[in-house]
Amino acid sequence: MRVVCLAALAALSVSPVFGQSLVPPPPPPGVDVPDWALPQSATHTQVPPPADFHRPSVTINGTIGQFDAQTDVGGPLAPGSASYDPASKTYTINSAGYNIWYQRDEFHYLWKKMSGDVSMAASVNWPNMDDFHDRKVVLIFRDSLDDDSRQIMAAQHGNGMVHISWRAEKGGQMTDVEYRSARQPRAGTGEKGPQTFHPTRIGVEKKGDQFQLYISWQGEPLHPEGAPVTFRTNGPVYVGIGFASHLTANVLTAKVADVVVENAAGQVR
Amino acid sequence: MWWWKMPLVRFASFVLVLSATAALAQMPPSVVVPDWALPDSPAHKQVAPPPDFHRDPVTYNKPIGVFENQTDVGAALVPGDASYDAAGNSYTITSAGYNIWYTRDEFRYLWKKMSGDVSLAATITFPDPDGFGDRKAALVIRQGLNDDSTEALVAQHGAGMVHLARREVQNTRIKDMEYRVGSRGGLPGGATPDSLVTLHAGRIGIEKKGDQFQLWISWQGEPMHPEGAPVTLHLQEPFYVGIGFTSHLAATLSAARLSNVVLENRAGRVR
Repeated sequence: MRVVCLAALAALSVSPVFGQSLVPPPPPPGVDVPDWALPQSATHTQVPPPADFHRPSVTINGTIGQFDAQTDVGGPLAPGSASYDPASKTYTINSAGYNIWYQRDEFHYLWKKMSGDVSMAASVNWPNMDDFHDRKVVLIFRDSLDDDSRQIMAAQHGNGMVHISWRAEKGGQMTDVEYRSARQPRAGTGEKGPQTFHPTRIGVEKKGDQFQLYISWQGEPLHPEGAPVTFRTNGPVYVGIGFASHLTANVLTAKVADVVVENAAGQVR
Repeated sequence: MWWWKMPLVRFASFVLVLSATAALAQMPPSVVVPDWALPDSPAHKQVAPPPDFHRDPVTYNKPIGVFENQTDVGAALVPGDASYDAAGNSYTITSAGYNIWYTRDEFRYLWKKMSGDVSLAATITFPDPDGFGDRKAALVIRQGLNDDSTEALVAQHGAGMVHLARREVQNTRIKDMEYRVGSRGGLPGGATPDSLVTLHAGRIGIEKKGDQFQLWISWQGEPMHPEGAPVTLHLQEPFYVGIGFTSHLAATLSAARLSNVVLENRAGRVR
C-alpha cells in the first residue's frame, strides 16, 4: 500500500522524447568554442576532445550545505556557481561544460573527501525542462579534481536517461550502463511520439569497491537497478554532486533536492 | 530528419528492415496479410486494426505444465504451438500474430483460471537471435480470451524493451510504460566503444495485488525489484493468468522460451 500512496503523491514528470531541446543553442557572442567541444546535433557529429587537451580545474574554497568546497572541474569557458537553500534543502548549480564523458570532464562540482562506504541520493528538478537535453546532474566519486580523473557516478540527464558510468583509468574512456523509460503517446491527445518518464529520485551506493545504482522511476521505493560495478578505490575519495550543461560556454541551471550523503552503505533513500 | 542521424535509430531501422524482409520471405504463399496488420518499417507506417475487426479465439484443449489450456487469442493467420520441458521448468511458445497492442491482440496464450492475488515471473530468451525486433514474450493477466479483452501484462521484446501494458476498457487502445537499457563500452558487439549496445533483462515478473499490477525486473542479476509505479485495473473473478508470445508478424511463426516460470496464487512471491 505504501508503494501505491507514494506513486499517487509523486508528480509524474513526463516530457516528449523528441523536443526542441535537442537543438543546442549557439555559444554566447564573442566566445570561441572549438569544433571538438560541440555536442551531437543534426549538423554535427560529436567527437572526443583532442588526446592531449586539458584545462586546470578551478576551486572555490568554503563550505556549501553538506560539502566542503566547489570546483569547476576542467575549467569550463564560463565559470560555474552554486547556492544552497536550507529551507527547501535544495542546491542550485549553474554550470557550462562540454560534457562528463570521453577522457576528460567539464562540470561544476560540490564535494567533500570521504573514506569507507557511502550512500548518496538526490532528486533532480529542472527549472527549464526545455533546456538542452543532454545536460546532466551527477552523484560522483573521484580520485582527484583533475579533468581526467578516475571516477564513477550516477547521472540523470535532461532527457530522462539515467546511467551509472565510470572512467576506470585516469585519462581513459568512459563506460556506462544507461536506463530509459517512456510511454507511447495517448490516443486522442496532442502528444507526438514517445513521452519520457523522468525519474523521481536516483542514488548510488559505495560498498567497498562495489558501486550500485539506485532508481525510483515513479515514486516506488528506491531500488538497485542493474548489477553493481567494481571500481577500485585507494583511501579517501572526492564525493559530491555536480552539473554540466553539455554546452561548452553556455551556463544552464539544475536544482538538486533532498541530498543524502552518508558515510555508510545501505542508506540510499 | 534529425533523428535519422542518430546512429541507434539508423541501426535499429536497418535491423528492422532486414528482419522484416527476411520474415516476409518465409510467409506461406497462400496467406494474405491485410495492410493494417503489417509492422512499422521505413516502407510502411504501422496502424491500428480497423475498429470493427475481430477474430474469435481458438482453444486447443491441451493442458501444458502448470497451465490448464492453450488458446490462439485473436486467431493469428497461422496457428501457434507450445511445448514444456519439465527439467528446466521451461515453455517454448511458437506463434504468429500481428501484435499485442491497439484494440486487439493476436498471440498464443498458455493460461489457467485464477482468483485473488498472483505472482508470475519468468526468464525469457529468444531461440532465433535475428528474429523481428518487436516480437514479444508476455506474462498476461486477462479478463477473457477474446482478442479485445481487458488485461494487464508485462512483456519483453526481441529488441530488449520491457513494458507494463494494460487495456483498461475492452476494445480500446492499450497504454504502457516502457523501459530500455543499454551500455556504451560495457557490452560486446558495439561498432565503436561509444556505440549503445542493448542490455536484455535477466528476468521479469508481474504481481497482482487486489487491483494493482506491478512490473518486477532484474536487469543484470540483481534481486528482482518493482520497476515504476503499479497500474490499476479491476478484473472480475475468475480471470485468466498465463504466458504468451507473438511474433509481431501476422502470418509468420517465431518462438520464445520462458524458463523457471514461477506462478503463485498470492502477492509478494515474484522472484
